[in-house]
Amino acid sequence: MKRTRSFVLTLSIGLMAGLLLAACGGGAAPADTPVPAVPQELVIGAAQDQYRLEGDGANLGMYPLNTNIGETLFKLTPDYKVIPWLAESATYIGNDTWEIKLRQGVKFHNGDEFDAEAAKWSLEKQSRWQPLVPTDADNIKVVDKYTLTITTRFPFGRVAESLAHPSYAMYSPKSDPGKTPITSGPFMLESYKQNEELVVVRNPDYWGQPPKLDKITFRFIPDNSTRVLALQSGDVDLIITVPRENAGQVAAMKDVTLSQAEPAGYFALYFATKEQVAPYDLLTDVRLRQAINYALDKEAIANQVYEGYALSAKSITPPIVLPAIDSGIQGFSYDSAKAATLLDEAGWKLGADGIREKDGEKLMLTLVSGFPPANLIKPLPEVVKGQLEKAGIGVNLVEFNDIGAYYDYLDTGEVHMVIESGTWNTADISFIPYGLFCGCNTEGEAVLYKRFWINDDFEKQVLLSLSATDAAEAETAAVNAAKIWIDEYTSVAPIAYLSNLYGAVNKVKGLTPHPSGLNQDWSTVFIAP
Amino acid sequence: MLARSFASNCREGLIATYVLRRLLQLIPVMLTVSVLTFGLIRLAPGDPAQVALRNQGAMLTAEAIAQMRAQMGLNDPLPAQYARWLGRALRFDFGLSVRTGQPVSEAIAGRLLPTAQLAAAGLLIAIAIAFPLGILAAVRQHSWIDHLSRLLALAGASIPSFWLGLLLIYYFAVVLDWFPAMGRGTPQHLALPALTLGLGLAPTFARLLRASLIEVLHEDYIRTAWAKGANESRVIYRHALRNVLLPVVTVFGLTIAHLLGGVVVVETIFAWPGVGQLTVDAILTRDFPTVQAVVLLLSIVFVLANLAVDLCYPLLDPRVRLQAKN
Repeated sequence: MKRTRSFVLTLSIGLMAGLLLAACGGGAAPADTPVPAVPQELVIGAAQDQYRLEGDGANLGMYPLNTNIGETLFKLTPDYKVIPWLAESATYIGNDTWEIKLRQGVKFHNGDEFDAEAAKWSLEKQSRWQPLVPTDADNIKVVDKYTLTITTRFPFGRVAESLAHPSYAMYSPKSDPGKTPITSGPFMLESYKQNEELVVVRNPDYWGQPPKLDKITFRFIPDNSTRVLALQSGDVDLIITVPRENAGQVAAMKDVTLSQAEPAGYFALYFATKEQVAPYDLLTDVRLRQAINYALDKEAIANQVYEGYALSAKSITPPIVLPAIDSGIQGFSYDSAKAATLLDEAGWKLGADGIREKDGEKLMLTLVSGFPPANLIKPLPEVVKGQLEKAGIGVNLVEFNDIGAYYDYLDTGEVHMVIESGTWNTADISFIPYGLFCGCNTEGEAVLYKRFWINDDFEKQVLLSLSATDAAEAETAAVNAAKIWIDEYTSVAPIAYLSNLYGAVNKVKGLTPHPSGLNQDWSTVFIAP
Repeated sequence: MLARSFASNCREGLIATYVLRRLLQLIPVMLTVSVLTFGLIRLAPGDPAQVALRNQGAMLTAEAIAQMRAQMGLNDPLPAQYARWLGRALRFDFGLSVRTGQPVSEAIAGRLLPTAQLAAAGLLIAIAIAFPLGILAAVRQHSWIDHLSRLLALAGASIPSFWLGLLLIYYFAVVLDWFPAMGRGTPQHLALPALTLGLGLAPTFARLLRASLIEVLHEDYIRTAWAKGANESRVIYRHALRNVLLPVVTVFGLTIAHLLGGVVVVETIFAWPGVGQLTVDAILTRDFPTVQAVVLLLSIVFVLANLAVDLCYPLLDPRVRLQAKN
């Protein structure tokens, strides 16, 4: 009996000792160790590794996690200005052709010079993959060592804005963009372990303002809670994309600051009004669409669901993308009385159970959630449902965690409205309207959203905002399109503008959170003593 | 005596025959698994060509979709698609990952070692916890140790591994700063994920060990051992435990499935770059080639693990004779 107990005791102590010994290699340094000079090394906790490593879409270090090893011809600043970067200018020269003049004196990390041939190589690569600029390899021509032309397939005025997207990073033609990218950025790729970490170091020969950090280690931590705990434990110094549900926790952490960028994202309801068959054609009545807008208490959603880290939205286009939007459209604020009036006018009378009815039919709308996957945006759909039911609008919520299944369902037409979010990762003011809501777009994802298209007037304005080579003209057209979109046709109910959130320990200084996480600039960041 | 009987089996070539027969039995099992894997994924909603294009960020034109369908062979009859896929799979060619573009076999190969490390460490911890606990609970039946082991077993079965993992990170990484919160690189990085996995498995082994040991301790030969003057250690470790190992090892083989499932969750929580994390990623991004390859691989691991368990029986019990006719 005693032997058994002592054996078990010995084994248990051994197990504990093993754990303790394993622990002994980490933890705080002994008190008598002299404090070193502050190393300029930053460890960042990022979400999962999403780099493509093969083919034309290979984008190691560039997209969606931008480690600043590469640069684009134009750059999107944190206040959404598009400034010349590796290019000095983009000039429209007629016949759907743009002349790009390149910056001289820029060298790639291997010492090769950046020139028009390298730019052409990089642009051709992207033209075969995800061409934001509608062109192809045959229409990208080298004029001289530092000049090239791009001819688009149709009138396209948003060339500079599109070329600022990190997927248009400039590579040396000797690159393998998925394994050994040779680029020109303020940082250079030191090592990459897929799904573990990517390490970049300072480029000592950088052509522009040198970065302050010597080294950045990006650690891939897919789980949101683990990423937050890693910040709390000191395993990382900074985390990007702090999830909404953890924002308060991060803000309350000792010696940690939560930073919020200007909002460049949005959440909205899209109303299905095209090709709908009864009973899914209820929202063809504009009074119902307007009533839904008035019935949504967006301030409450921004304050309660997003704990103040979002703003109530007037439009799909956040003001930072299109500053004129706020004064250019009226929008809808919360007004339950107006919602009730509109519903009454449309013949929907309040029923005994609080849900409106007409000719014996209940007002039941099918709300579909699937992009982003439904489990990622809870409880927003339920909150929207609750608010609409208060106004007497019954909601049947259909949720998908799989995007393929979601789009398949939309095809059936058994939908009144969807709840979706998007981010303007570009200053191209036609990006979302043309990309999703324009029947004029036969090349992109708009075909998946055919039930949510608007009308010819809207499409005319969108095409103008897309094609106009004059920026002011494009902006005016975009505002006009938004007026039709929001005020006149009311094909959407904007809910909230969303921001990127970053959490960093207080010794991390110089961070300017970029509204578009894809364009985050790390070169100004440093570690304070 | 054990070694002599095992050697005797070997000389007779019975082990070799048994192994060969079991390996041949693998073929229909794996064929069934491959048909199910291939078929079930095809049943998932959504056009795989559109999913692939969307993952690539490519334009969803009718032309591009048609081209992708042709490229993926989706226009061929299903049996032809299966035959082509199986033919490639036998050469360990599972195609290209829809998400990263790299060969699937390359992606999996790079993740096998981390998963093996984690699974092995988790299993060792489970055994290190389960054996002392199970033995003590059996020997001190109805004592506080027994009740404690029952409580721990209930807790271990009830607590989801993702929650346990986060709890361990909070206390051991954040509060105590004994271990890193996530990642891989040093033995310290392995400690918490392995502990999470081990704590999830230990209760099952401990309770089974306890139940089996209690039963065996009432056997006549145990009474004989006591009567001959053997001390407690000798009775338990030399006589009782050996007879208990057979059911425990059997359950161990079946627990491999639980282990592999646990690995998926634990790897995601601890950002451990193994096959489990790859699987989650592949499912979320509808990376069909990767999902198919991982499911097939894990099935092979499960079947081979159970084969290995069966081969342990002669080692553990000399009464087991491997007859050629069986």
